[in-house]
Amino acid sequence: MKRFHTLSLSIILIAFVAISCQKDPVKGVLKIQMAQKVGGDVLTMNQMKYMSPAGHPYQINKLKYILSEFSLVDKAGNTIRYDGGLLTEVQEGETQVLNLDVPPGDYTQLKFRYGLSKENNIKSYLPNTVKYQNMYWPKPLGDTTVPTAQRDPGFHYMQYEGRYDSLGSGVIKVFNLHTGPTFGADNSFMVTLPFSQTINIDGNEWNLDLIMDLQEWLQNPKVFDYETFGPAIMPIQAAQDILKANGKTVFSLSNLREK
Amino acid sequence: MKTKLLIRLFFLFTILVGVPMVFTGCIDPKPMPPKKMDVDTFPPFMPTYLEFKVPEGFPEMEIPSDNALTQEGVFLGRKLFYDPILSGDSTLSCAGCHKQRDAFSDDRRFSIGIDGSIGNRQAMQIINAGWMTKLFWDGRANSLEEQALGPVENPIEMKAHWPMVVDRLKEHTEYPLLFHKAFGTADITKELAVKAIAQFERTMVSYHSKFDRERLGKVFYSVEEQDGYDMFFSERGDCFHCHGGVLLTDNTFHNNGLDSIPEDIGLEKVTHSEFDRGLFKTPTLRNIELTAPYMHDGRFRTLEEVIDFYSEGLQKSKTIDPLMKAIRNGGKHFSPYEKKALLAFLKTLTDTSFVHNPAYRAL
Repeated sequence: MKRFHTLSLSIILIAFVAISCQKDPVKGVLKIQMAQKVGGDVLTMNQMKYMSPAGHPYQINKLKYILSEFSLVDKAGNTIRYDGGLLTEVQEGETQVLNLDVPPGDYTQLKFRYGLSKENNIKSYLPNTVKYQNMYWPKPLGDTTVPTAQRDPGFHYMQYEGRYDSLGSGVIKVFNLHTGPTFGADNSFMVTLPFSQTINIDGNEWNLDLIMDLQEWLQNPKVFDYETFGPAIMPIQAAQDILKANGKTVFSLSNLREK
Repeated sequence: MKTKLLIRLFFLFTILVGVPMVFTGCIDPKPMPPKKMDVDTFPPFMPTYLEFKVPEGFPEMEIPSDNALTQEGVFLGRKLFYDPILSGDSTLSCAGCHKQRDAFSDDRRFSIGIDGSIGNRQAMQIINAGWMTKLFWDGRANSLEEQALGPVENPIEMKAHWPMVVDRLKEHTEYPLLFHKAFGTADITKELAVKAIAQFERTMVSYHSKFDRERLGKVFYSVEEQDGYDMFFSERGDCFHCHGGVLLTDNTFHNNGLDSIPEDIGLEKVTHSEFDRGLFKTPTLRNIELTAPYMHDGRFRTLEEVIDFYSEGLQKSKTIDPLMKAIRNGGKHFSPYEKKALLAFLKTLTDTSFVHNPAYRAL
C-alpha cells in the first residue's frame, strides 16, 4: 500500500514537473512585404515597356493603394482580426512592410480588404497624417444623398497612374485608375489567399510577399481599355465595376518563409 | 546788436550742453563696443514648452523630436526671421522676401539678393509650412530646418557664410542670452539658429479662411463660390488631386504643362532623373489671392491668367503629369462663368487674420 502511494506520488510529481517544464507557446510575427508586378515582371516605373490587353503600350508613373481589415485564419477556422488600413506608396528604393503580432497557432489563410468598406471609409479610420490624408476622396464625388455638410466620403482606394500609346504610333495619352467610393458606392472587396503551407507560430517570425499584379487590373474577366472611359474614371461607376471585378485576381502571395 | 546776442547765446549753449556731452562720451565719434554678456549670469535654462493645437480637420503636424516648440525657441526664431544679421552685408532678412502682407511670399516675380542679384524662381509662400515634407520648388530640403540653412549662403540671396553669421550672433548683445533661453546653451551654432527659425515657421498657421468656416459648417458659400468649389473638387476642374485636402497641396511634385521644353528642370536638378524634368512642388493655394505672381517662375501676374492657363494653355511634354487629363486638348476649356466661379472659390481661401496676426510680425 505504501509502495503504491509512493509510486502514485512519483508519477504525479513527474507529470507535474513535465507539465511545468513545457514551454508555453508564445506569439510570433508575420511580416508581409507589399510587392508589385506587371504580368510576370517586377514593376519598373516610368518605362513604356508594358502592353495592355487592349493593345496599348503603357508605363506606370504613380501607384498608391490602401488595404484594410487584415486577418489570419487558423486551421480550426478561427479568425484573428487586425483593425485599420495600410497605405502603400510605391517609391524607388522603399518597401512597405506590415508587421502583424500573431498569437500562437497554425494558420492557413490571409484575408484582407482591397480599399475600405463603406462603414470604415471615413476620415477617422486611417492615421491622421499628411500621407494618408492625401488619399482623400472629395465631397462632390461622395454620396450625394447625404447633405454636403455631413458628407464624409473618405478615401481613394487606389491611385494608379501612367501614360499609354493610344494608337501604337507615339500618340501619348494619360490614364488614371483611381478607384474609390464613387457617389457613395462600396467598390471595395475582400480577398482571401491561402498560404502555400501552414504557418506555425510559436515565438518565431514568418515572412511573405503580398503581390499586386498591375496587369490584372486590366483583364480577367473583362478587358479594361483606357480609351473606353477616358482619363477621369472617379465618377464613372461602370469603370469602377470592371476594376472591381478584375481586382479579384490582382493579389497573390509569394516567397513564404520562416526566418 | 542782434548778432552779438546770438553769439552769446550760442556760447552759453555750448558750455551748458556741449561740455557735459563730451564728459559723458555721447559725442564720441567711435561707438562704444557692445558689452558682451556674461554667460555666468544667465538664468537657469527653463524653456516653456508649447503644446501645438492642431486646427480642426487638419492632419497631425510631425514636429521633430529634437526640436520641440518652446516659447523661447519661437521667440528667437521670430527675431532671427526678421533680422538682416543673417545676410552678408546685414541688409536682408528672411522677411525681405517672405513678407507678411503677401502671406509670407514675395510680390516680385523674382526676389532680389543683397547685391541686386536676381534668381529665376519666385519665393515660395510660408503658410502652414509645418506640414510640408519637402521644401523649395525643387524639393531640395527635407525639413524646415534644412530649408532655413539654404538662403543664408545662397550666392543670389543672402550671400553670407554661416561661420561669419554665427560669429556675429555670438558677439551680439542679445542673442547669446536668447539662444541660452531657447536651447540651454550660448554656444551658438547654425543648427540651433535654423531650429529656432523652423520653430517660428511651424507656428505660422492659416486656418481662418471662408473655406475653413464653410467646412466647419459656420457659413455658406455664395452660389458662385459653391459652383467653383464643386468644379475644384470634381473632375471638371480637377484641381483637388494636387491642391486637395485642408492643406490644399499634396506636398509632392508635378509637371503641370507649363512648357513643352522646360527651361528650368525643377526636381530633376535634385534627383538627376530625366523622369523628373520640369516637375515642381505643388504650392498650397491657401491665401492664393495674396501671393501673386504665380508658378515657380512667377510668370502669371493674376489668378485670371492662371485659370486661363489651365483652361487653354497647357503644353505637352514628355514628363507631363498623368493628372493633367486635358492635355490632349490644351486644357479644360472652361466657360466664362466657370472661370468666374473658380475665381470666386479661390478667393474663399484668403485668411486675412493670417496676414495681420501680430504673433507673426517683426519684434
